[in-house]
Amino acid sequence: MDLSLAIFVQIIAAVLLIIALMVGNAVVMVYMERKVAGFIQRRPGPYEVGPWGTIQAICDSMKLLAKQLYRPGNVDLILYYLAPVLAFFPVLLLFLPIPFGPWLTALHINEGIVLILAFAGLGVLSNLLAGWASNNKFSLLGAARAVAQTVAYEIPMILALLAVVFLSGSMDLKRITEQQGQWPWEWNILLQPLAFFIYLVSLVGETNRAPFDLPEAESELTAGFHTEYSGMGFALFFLSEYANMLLVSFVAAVFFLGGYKGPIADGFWWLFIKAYAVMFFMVWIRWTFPRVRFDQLLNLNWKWLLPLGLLNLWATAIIMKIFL
Amino acid sequence: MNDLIGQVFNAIGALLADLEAWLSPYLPGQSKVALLAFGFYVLLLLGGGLTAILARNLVRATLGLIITFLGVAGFYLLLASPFLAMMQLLIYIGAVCVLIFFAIMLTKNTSDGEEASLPRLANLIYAFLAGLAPLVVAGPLIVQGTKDIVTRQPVDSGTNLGEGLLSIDLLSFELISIILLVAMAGAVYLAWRPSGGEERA
Amino acid sequence: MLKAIWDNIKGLYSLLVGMSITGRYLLSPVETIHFPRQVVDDEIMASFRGPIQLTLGKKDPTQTRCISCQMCAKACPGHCLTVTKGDAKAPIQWLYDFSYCCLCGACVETCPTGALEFSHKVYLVTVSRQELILDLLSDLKTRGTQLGNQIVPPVPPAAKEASPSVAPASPSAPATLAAPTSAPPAPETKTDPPKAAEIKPDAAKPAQTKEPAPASGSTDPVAASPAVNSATNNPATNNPATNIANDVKTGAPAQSEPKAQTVAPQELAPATKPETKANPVANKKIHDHSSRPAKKRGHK
Repeated sequence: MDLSLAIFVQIIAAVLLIIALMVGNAVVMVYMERKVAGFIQRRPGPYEVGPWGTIQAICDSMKLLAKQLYRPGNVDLILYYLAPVLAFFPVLLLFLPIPFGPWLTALHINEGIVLILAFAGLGVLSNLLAGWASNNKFSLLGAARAVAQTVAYEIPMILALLAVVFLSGSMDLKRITEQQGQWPWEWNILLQPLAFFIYLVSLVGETNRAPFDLPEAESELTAGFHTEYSGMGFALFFLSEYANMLLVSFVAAVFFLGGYKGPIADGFWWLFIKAYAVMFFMVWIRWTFPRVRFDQLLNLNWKWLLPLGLLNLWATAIIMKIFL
Repeated sequence: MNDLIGQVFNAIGALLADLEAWLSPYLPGQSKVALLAFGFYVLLLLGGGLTAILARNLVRATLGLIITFLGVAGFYLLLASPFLAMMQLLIYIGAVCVLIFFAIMLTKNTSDGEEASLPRLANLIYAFLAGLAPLVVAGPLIVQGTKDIVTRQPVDSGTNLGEGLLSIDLLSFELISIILLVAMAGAVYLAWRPSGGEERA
Repeated sequence: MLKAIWDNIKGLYSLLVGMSITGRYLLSPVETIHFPRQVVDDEIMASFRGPIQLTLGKKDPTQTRCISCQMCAKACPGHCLTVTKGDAKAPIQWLYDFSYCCLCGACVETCPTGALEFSHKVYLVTVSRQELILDLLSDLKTRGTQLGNQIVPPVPPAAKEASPSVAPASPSAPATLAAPTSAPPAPETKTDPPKAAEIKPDAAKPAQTKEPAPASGSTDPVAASPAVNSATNNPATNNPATNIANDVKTGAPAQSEPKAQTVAPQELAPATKPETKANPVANKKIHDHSSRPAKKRGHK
């Protein structure tokens, strides 16, 4: 990576655009989630504010901005204020290697997927810090659970993605996209269906989404590790959760669903359509299934997803060596 | 449409290259930028290390450790091994520090225990000398052995690492995996409680 | 081991079944209505148990049947009711603190004369606690004189579906000054006792009292007491028409023998009083509806 001015400007512009994308995504996702939840429950969702309730999400974010930042008395100040910031910034970096279009990759490095996995680990830290700094047993328990869950579900995720890396022979996201075709039957999902399934399940577990959302379950742990945060602190956690969801959906789209390639015209719109389809699926799952108990959650990961992931990897390696 | 975007980006890139060529007498050169990065990472390392040692609160000390690891990752980047840098982040910060956090958070650590107070002056001097020893002994050896690192061509670290682990250093690779397996088995054994039976010692 | 794997695969199938169910719900129309722009049918509101009100008097709709026996005040678990006895049996003040009322219906069931009933005031809005202490006598006077003066809006469509015995009387009910003409149809409907017997006793009241009401000539409907029931006079309620129509339904037309039938069904099933308000159910059999609201949802 040479440090010429062009690359510097490119990265700065990309970071600004990514911030805009993250905020826009949070607004869209909040609206989509509430509407889809409403329709699944046979009710309309937000409809008063703006046409079909579209301005509702903006009003919610304005409310969050304007709320008083209230914190409990004896919290560790540095850690308390560091935690939401630490939740937000690494997610920003994670969007850099994603190929939005043939010419629209912010940072074209050879180990794109490793960068994504590495900075996802930093997100885990923010949960811990938030839980500890809140000086609250429930938050601590929520944080401990969240971290155990996230760290556990990273592993099947890595294994599923590794299977695709085996197929493509490269960790570069752009090359993986280029090796898939335009039409759905040329995508990696047909070559690695089990890996796709494992990835989908670990996706839901990684981002602490229902039915694996014990760490932030309102009815169980009073919002878990972000109990003591209000206003902008909570907004940052919220934002980073939705950005995380968007990111893993982008990775799913790039690895399994063909990235920016589509039947008619290649471009960033296909990537967005596919990523939002995956996110719609996640919202659908959220409002269908009851919450999974924590030991069942971890059992699912260690006893089912991990062996399946290893099996898949082994089978892929054998098939590749023998037949390809 | 994508070709159009490509042409636009190429044009912008050419413009920026021209701008840089025009500005280059005034801008710091590439070596200067690397020096800036080096200084930043050194700050991270030393700051993190000092925080890890001197903080009263164990959680803050762990945070210092994390900052230190970030600095080390930066050094790997400067040495043209982005793969190792990512692995450092993934493994050390993402797994090891998280486990240290767990151990700290879920055990009782009073804020006025003996970790919280500064050690005696004699101990401090001994510690300083102990830290200086490897620097004095091993430092010149390392510098002698890697003098040509600045002029060596950077290689794709991931590929090289993979090839090396699976061909030249295969034995060490397998031994490391055996060690990890033994560690996991030991952990499971220590934590295992047969259903209905008593706890094993 | 294999059984565990097979169980899990079957479990996966159940997950898909669950998702298909929610997917189907996703694509089905919504069940709720948008409140200010649409309201729930009056038919459903007819079984709504709102704040209690005094039933209209038999001879004079502005006079209550209450005999100040204090049974309701004793029965009320929240001690909401304050009945002040006057020289005669009738009370001189009847206060009802809605802020403590739990709508249990004990007072309605206990009253020996059937003087209390549930209203259908869905849109009751107050802005202070004081306003929630309702003066039921002035509310009764308002409703009675409104009925007497025929200051009522057009007949709600529900009333038109009522039994034929009801029909002739109902169009005359909203006629502005056609009050005297309602009297002749009223005796006519006495001729179908079986149908009239099915009609709830309270429906009998106003047809008889229509004569005295215009005769009394009380033309000022609005009571001047400060604790007047906000719902009847509150312009902010969405459908004052419906509110008054609801109240009119209490008295709307159908006619039956005054005392004989009013007393008998009372002894049988005092809890059926809530049913009396709705004309559409006038054709239905008497059955015990003591506390079940209508299950269906209106969709306007």
